[in-house]
Amino acid sequence: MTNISFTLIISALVFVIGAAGVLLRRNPLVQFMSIELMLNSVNLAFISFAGNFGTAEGQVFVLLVLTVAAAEAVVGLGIIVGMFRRRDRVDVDDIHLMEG
Amino acid sequence: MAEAIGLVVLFPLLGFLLVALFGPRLSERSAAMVACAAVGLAFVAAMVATVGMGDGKSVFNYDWTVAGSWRVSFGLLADQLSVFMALIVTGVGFLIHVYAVGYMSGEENYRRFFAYLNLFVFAMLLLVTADNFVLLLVGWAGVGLASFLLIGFYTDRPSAVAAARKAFIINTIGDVGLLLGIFVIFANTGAISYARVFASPQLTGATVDHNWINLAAFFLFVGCAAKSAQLPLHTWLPDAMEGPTPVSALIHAATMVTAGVYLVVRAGPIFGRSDVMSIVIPLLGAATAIYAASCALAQTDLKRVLAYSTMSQLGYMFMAAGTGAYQAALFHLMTHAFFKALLFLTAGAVIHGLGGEQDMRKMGGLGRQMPLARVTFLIGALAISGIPLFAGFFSKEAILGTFPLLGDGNPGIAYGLGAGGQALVGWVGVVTALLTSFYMFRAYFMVFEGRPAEHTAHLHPTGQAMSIPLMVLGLLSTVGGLVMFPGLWNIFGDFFNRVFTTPLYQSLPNAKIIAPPTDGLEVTNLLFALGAGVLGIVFAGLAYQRVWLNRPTTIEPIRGAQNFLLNAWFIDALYNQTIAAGFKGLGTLIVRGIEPVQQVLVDRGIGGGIWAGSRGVRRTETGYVRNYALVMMLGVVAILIYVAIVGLQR
Repeated sequence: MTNISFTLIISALVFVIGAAGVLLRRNPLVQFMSIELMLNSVNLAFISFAGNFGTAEGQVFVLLVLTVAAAEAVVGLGIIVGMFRRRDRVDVDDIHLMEG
Repeated sequence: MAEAIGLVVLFPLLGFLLVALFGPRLSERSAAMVACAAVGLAFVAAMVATVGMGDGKSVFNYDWTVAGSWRVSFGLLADQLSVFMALIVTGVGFLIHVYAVGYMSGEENYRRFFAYLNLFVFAMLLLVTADNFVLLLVGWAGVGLASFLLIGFYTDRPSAVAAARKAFIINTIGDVGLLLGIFVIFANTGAISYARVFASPQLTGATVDHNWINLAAFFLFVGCAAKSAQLPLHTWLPDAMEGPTPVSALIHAATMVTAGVYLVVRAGPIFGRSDVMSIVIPLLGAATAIYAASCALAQTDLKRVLAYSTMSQLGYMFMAAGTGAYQAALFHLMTHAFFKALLFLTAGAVIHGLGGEQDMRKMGGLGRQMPLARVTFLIGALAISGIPLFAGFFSKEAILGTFPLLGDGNPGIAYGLGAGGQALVGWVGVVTALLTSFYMFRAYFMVFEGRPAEHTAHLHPTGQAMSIPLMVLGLLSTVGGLVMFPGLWNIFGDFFNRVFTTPLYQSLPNAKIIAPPTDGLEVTNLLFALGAGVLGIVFAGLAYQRVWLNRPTTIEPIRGAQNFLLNAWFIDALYNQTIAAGFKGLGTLIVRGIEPVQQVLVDRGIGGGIWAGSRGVRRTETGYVRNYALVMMLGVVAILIYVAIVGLQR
């Protein structure tokens, strides 16, 4: 088992934890944190591959992912604050207006 | 200065836009002034174009639509034929506009009337000046629209609205015919402008395919017949008299209805080479001439007499134009525009004077109270009867002179009608001349002579705006024919020489009869036609002598025949019973038979199926974010599995 296998297993574990968090939790804040976990697990995988192959593309991608994550967090938190102002609790299941 | 032809078209368009868009802000007087000025300026521009056009050329050839070999331009054609028509349209149109200022005063929607009138003049000018078939079609449909709007001008009168609809439907049949004709022409020559179509080798070559020429000529003639009210597409014209009288004079007598004659002459290189249509058009023209004249005998509505008379005279023009005697047809077109506009405007003055009464049986003895109308009506009646030195005499002689009566055949007619056919058409023309003068003088006696009818005591006076156009048209109807004095001079022909001596027309089989003979007269025809005209007047005088002599009328016509003619041979009824009833039956069948079935099928079948399907699909849309996220997740997993399998297989 090489170094990269170890980090990749960690990455996969973190990704699954994040995915489970998004699917199972009903608090949007926690869901957001889970999404961040998923993003960062991917970052970890990028970094490991970049280190292994000795190329820069993976590292550049990490920077891009971080930027997008930051922007996404701003929008998401804005929505959560808006939700909180309208009703006192925040629960994603309260928002199901798109129901068919 | 051939470019002045652009102004000819532009002025009425501007006039229309000005009156239509800013009408409510203009006073009635200034709206009418704008409309009159637009047509007057167009007339001046047409004269400038006439003086400066030289041999005639097409101007403003900007591209309109281009697709492969399909190339249509906005081009206007300034040649003798175009400016001749433009001069008639704007000249007679101007006089009728001025007349309408007086005639329509006090009417509701006064400005709208003038806006429509200018729209008509614009469309008509576009029609006659277009240098390709597509632009012609634009004008062609435009005049149909303007005619529809003006026939139905009195929108509160159901009969006017019905008449407008009828005119529009029949004209649409014609438009479709014209459109199909254009398709045939384009498919076979690959060109759409007159110059290129008429010069194309498919048309002028040594061995040409007559089938497509006949087909093209036939479809074009469907358009002409509908526009010019020829059998069997004529039924709209008498009903079109529901429109205001200036409209009848301008559109349904002097200009629009002559568009068909114009097209037959303009597309002469096609019509003149069609062996079938060279026979059909003169025969249909002759049939229309005598049919309409017979209908006019029994009409009681003054304007309907004139409407049938218009149809009949158009029949004369088609006799000549269909055979190839283009100058004679155009000559009669011009004189007819003068004297028929005069007759209509005089009828308008009478109707206006009587406060809207159109029934001749309720008129009588108006001659003393309306001396001007009597004189102008008499001039118009003499002109249309072909009495020497009045305008109609020369033009009618020019047409009838084309068809030898004695069966020896016109040596110039090498194509189309044989000697017997020519004699037949000629005799129909002579008999029609007899009927023409009879019905015109019948109308004259009924309206102007005899004892005054009861409600003719207080007449609306004929204003100045109305009487001046009457005088001008009266003068033109008197001397207008002198431009072509048989055997002596032919100013008219000299003007058209530049068009008709081009190879385009000279290569036609019947080129020799385009111009009437200048060296001599067709004495036989002259005598017969003149005799017929005089005889008709005498008969009318005899038949209505009791009216004439102020005695109570005791004419008891044969009821059945009168009814037959009054209803125009029941052709209207026939159309109603067959075509209209057929469509109505079809409509009922669809409503009663097909509609319920279709409703069940569509409602229960298609609608129900979609409803049931959507109910299933709707279940999947829960609105919960986690469900969507799960589906996304599963999707990603599925894609990953697929990629992994593909990767392993490689």
